[in-house]
Amino acid sequence: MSLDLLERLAATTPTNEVRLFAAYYCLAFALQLALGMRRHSRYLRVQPSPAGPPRPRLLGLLALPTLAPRTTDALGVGLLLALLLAALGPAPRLATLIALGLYFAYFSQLLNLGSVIRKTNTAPQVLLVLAAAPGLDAPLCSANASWPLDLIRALVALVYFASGVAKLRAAGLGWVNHGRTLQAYLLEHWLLLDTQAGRRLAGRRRVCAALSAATLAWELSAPLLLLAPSIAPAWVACALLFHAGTLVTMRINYLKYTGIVLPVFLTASLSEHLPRLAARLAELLSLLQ
Amino acid sequence: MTDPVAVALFAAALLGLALAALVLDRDLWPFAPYSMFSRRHSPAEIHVFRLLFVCRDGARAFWSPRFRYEARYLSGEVAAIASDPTLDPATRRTALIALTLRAFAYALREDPGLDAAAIAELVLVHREIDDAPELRSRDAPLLRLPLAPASQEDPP
Repeated sequence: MSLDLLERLAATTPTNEVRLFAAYYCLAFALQLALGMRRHSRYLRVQPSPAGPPRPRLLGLLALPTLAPRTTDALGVGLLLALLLAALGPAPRLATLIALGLYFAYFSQLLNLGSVIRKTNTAPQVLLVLAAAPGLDAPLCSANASWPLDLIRALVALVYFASGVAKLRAAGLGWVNHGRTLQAYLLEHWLLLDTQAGRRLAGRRRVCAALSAATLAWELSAPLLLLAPSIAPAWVACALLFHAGTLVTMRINYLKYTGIVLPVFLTASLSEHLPRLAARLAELLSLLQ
Repeated sequence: MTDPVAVALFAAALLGLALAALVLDRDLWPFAPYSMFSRRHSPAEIHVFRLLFVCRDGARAFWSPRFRYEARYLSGEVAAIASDPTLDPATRRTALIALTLRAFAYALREDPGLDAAAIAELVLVHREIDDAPELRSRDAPLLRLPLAPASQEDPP
């Protein structure tokens, strides 16, 4: 990055947060997709599953057709290119819309795959909102409506809140059950998947009780993110710890596709700090020169 | 989209769908109620079924699918067959044998390194937790399926 560019960035106010987030998100999604495509392709080639459930329908209504593995591979490559173009290309809105369509075509074939099931649900929601966002194709240093990022924040907060509400609906506050419920789920995964870390955690009942209560409180607190954005860094840190925990103890990886959307809660503070950070870097570079 | 009414309708539609999935407790892909792990449980209530390979040399290994949800799907399907009150014992056994063979065929497709000839028996194992402080597993065979007659000797 040249000194001139850094100085211009340092002098830039305001920042187009929508464009900045869209570029980041599309690149992050493209990276995760690229890392997973080989596995997706292998999964498609060993189907049919001996006991898998039927694939979910679009909006619970429309069953999307089953495609040949080669066709699906090609759609995946198309999705990857569309995401890269959405992040870096000259027509981000068109590329985002194409990526949205290709998401449904590609991921509809993979919905029963453990690393995909429900974990990519936020992606089409984010892409749809970005495709409708006024700031998507505006310059990086222009002020734009904040509603697209507010809407994405509300949709993501609802994901976590829904999970907390589901626990309250099914079991009430008794879900915590002195840590017994968490113990049970950890042990179920150990019996099925030999997750030794989960087995070890299940042996610590007091820790399970504390983690259960903390999880429920953290999930139900998600709407507070919309009312008090200042709690976002702490809340996102908890989210990352939670997802890292389920990955280690239960091999459930929400970091891959859902984790990448969490920085949306930090965009306001990022855009506040970005010019200051650029100014510091410019200072440093000028000293070095 | 800059028209405030259009923006409001757009946001209401998206949030409405997300709330509908939550209220109906139903997957409306890409919206979901995220009700996984929401039931209250205790370790004593947990039980699963796994496929065990018994090799000709006596070695035993649980099937650990590369696509790990297959283990969960298989366990759920076995549980559904095993607890179906409408099935008589012979029909239940036939259904379990068919499912076990489908799972074995899938395991061979999924892992080309798996040597079918080395496997002497497929066993569906019922696994549960012994709810003593040690939280050990308690395993019992539900179905044994020899892949070769017991009397058949391997060639020297």
